[in-house]
Amino acid sequence: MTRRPWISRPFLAAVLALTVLFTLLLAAVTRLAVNENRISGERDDSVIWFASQGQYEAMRLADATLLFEAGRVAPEELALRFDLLDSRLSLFEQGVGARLVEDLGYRDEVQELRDTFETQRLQLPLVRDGDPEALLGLHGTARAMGETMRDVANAGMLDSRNKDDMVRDTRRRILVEVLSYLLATLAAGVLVAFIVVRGFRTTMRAEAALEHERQISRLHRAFTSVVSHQFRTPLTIIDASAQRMLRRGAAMTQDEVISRATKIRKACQRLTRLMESTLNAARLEQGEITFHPRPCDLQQVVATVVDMQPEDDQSRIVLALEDLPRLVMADTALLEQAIHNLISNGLKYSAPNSQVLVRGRREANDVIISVVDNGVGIPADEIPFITERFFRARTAQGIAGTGIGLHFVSQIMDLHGGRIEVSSAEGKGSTISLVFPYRPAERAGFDPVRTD
Amino acid sequence: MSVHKSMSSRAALHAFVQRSVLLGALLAPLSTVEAADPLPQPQGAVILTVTGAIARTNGPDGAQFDRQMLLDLGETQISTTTPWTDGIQEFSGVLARDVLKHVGAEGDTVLATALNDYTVRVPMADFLNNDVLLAMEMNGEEMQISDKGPIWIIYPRDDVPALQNTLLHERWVWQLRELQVQ
Repeated sequence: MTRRPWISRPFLAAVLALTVLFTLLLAAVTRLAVNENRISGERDDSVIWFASQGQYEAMRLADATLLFEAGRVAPEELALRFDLLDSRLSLFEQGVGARLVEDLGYRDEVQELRDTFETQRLQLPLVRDGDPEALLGLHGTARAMGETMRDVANAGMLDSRNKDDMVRDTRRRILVEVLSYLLATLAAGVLVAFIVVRGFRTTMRAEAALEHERQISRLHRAFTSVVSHQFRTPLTIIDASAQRMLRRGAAMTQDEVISRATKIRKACQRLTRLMESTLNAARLEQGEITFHPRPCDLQQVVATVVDMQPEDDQSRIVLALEDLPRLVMADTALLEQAIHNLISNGLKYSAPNSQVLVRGRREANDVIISVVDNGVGIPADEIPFITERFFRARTAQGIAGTGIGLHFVSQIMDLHGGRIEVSSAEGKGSTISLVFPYRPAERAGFDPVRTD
Repeated sequence: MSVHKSMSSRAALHAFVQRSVLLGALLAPLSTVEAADPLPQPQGAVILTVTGAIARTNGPDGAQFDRQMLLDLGETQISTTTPWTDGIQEFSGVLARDVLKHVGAEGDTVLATALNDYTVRVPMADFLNNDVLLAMEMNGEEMQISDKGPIWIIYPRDDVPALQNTLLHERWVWQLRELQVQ
């Protein structure tokens, strides 16, 4: 996966698509505007208006001719009607009227009307004199002009309707087009957003993974230095004792041999413990330790752990387990490890003759097992970190340890759905508690002998 | 019903009075000066009649003008294109504003009626704010009824872009016969 999503092929394709779509959209909108302009330009309405006015004037001239023949209007009125119709006709011969009539294909008809009209003008003196032929001719011409005007109006009407339909169709088509472009633009936009977000997330994830790796590598370096240091001390003791025994040889007193051998044994025990906890941590890390909750006698577990402590220290342990439930569902082996860790920490980080209290109780739905010591304590600012792997408090300096123990314990508590609670005062001592949900064991399934 | 009617007509009257007072104030100096002497009688054929809210008349029908009376108010030329003709036309005539002032018109609307009884409502403001011409000659020739005479209302369309509006076309009344001031 490229680290720069904006040069990836799909991204470029989407951006190209967006650009093209935007251009198409712009073009469609422009066409729409042009289409709408066709409507708002000079309308056919005016030709219809002109023609209907012309028809009206023609009919009035026809009327006036009849009325004049009957002697009911003055010749001036007849002349006025004639002139008015003339002006109406001339509207179709220049300006916008001429263009509209030409568009409708009525230019020739208008020309014919003009010719007829001018012929009639020549007859006007005869009309004035009351010549019946001329009167009839004028009346006929007026009527014919009225009919042609009506035809022009009809043609304008039809043309207007056709144009409206066309404009409406075009508008509908372009609108559908615009809508689809918009949808496609939306889709492309979503694609771009998706690619950018995905690229961003990949980057974030890669960075997080890198940071994780860095942390692990830092931890491993710390672990190596702690372990090598912690292993070196007992090894030095063993080596020194062995050298001394070699050098003194038979000259050594029995007491001295015992003292040296004891030192060697203690160093070996320490090495064993260090190795165990290291291995435990490694196994837990690799998922080799699995969680098997079974009915478990908590008091028995504590007793077993106390028994595992060095004999010298056992007298320092005070038990207060009256309130501790006996049978709960828990992983006995893991719980032993956890309690063992807490008790040996308590013994290790307090004065050789001070007491360590192990207290067990049930509080609401939780089981709480606390180990209380009067030892070096943990600085308040470091309490949040004590369950971190390889973390060791300032006050633990000079005391052998790997920083794995409490991390392991907290992992065990996680497996039990519980947690570690710590209260401590620097120089006065610590109380470290295992808190996990109380799940009573069914009697029927109780098997005090562990089978794994 | 009758109460309602009287109420509304009173309101209309009130509004009319208010408007008249406003416009009257605007036109007051001219009308008072010229209201003193009545208009002379037309000698030739009457081509324009101004009626309605005017201060000066020369007959029971309002103020009647023959061609010479209009020309005496001062000729003005406008050259402009029109939608109904081809090319630029030279119009000559009298400013509508001058005619309305001459008769002491007070109103905010003028009803313009043509020989064929076509009537359109023109705001007084059109005449006051623009050099709108009552044209009697086109290209140096007296306009006949057959070419939109004797009077054609001409807006200075080419000089004022705001007047190049198709909505104004209806106010270009040709064969003008009467102006009724309201």
